[in-house]
Amino acid sequence: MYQMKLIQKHFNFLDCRITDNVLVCKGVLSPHGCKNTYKIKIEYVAGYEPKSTVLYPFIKPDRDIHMYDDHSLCLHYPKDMFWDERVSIYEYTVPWIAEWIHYYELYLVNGNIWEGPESPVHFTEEDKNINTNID
Amino acid sequence: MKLYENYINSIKNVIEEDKARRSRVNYFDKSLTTSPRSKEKFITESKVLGYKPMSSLEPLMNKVGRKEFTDQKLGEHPDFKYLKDTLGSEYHYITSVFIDIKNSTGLFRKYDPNVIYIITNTIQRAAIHTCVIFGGYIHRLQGDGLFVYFGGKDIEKNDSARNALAATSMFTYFVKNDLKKLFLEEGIENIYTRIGVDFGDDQDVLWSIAGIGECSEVTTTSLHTSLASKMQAIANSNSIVVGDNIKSISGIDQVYFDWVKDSSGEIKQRYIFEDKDNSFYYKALDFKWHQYLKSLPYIVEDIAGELFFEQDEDKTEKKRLNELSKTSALLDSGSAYTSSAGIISGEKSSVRNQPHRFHF
Repeated sequence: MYQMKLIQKHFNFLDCRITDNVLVCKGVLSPHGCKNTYKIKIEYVAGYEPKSTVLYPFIKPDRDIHMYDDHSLCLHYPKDMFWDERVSIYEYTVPWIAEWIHYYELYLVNGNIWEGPESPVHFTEEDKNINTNID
Repeated sequence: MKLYENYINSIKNVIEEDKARRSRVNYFDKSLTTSPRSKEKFITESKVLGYKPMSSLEPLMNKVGRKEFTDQKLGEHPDFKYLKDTLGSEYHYITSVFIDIKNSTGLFRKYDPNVIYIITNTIQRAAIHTCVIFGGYIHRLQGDGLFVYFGGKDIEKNDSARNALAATSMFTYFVKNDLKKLFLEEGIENIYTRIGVDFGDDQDVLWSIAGIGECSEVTTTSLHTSLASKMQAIANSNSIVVGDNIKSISGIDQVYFDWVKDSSGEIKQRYIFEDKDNSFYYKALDFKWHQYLKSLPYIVEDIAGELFFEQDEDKTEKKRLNELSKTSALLDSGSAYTSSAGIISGEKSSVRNQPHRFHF
């Protein structure tokens, strides 16, 4: 509830609800200079890292763009920051989604080069912070 | 320039077809060079020669606001054709342009007349279409070249001069770059252009009918029309020589004009016309068309020095890329904020973007 209030306070493009203890926020955004408009979804269960998914447009998942096969995004390197319930979604996740869109748009025009900051190592699908309450 | 892509492709196609045909033809069987098929092709190509510019020139047409094209008749400038009926005359300003296309004779070493016809006619059409787009009136065809008038009753004098310079600059770029590239690839001797442009003011240009009956045209009697032709004759390869009147009436910055010089840098001819009795000395100047083209708002230059026509979509895309690049700079500097609408900006009242690294 606390996370939802903060998100709604800071981002009016997101529509949030809580169903079965899962906070779900959906919204449409198009950062400056972006060709497309993106529909995104954030799903959050207290204590776990939120799952951020691009619902529209259809984007072919690829490691290069930090997108998993289910179209969710890998927005941060776990070793940089441990996620717990005190970390605010509004402060971290939402701006990072906007950044992801920005770098994805750049990727489309610059010959498929990811210009955003990246972790030094890749990890696998298995390392994913899977939340069984969501999936 | 992509604007002339259709014209280049027309020439390319006829050259390719000719190559394919030659490879099939028995060297000793000369009769095949005038086979029924090649005649048929020749006729087909003739049919597609329209008055309307080819589609690749459409962005230029849209940019300069020319969308409708009515067929013009040679020797009958629409604003003065009434003189043909009245047998009268009228003084009215005009900008005269002579465009010569040189060295096409060299094509006879390599191609049959039907191929040469398509090549030279396509080049001539590129010239015609470019002039027509800029409001030019094709007065006469002279071999592969043209005699064009810019101006008329509802056209400002400076516009007539500027349009003539823009049209001739575009065409010269096409010949000097696009056509040259194609001819180099094909091992054809280079074709080049030489252009003369001059402006005669109201009191100096007499419009009247020349000739008899159907064998006549409405034309100008003017020192400056004559001089435009002379200027074309002294122009270097792929150069435009203009009269001093063009420099003054066009209002174009004087940096675009210089003396006409030879290859050693010596001034070729200071005055194109001298009337010592009346102390009248008229200058011919080399027009720096390449620099002028670069100054036009719809022409952009890439880092290799090649010029491009910039369409509105290009401008929008450029603006978009610029916005992306600004956002990247903000993110890199660590001073990016995300607004309530999810827009990244430098607006401090929004949520500050926290450092992170994308993973996976």
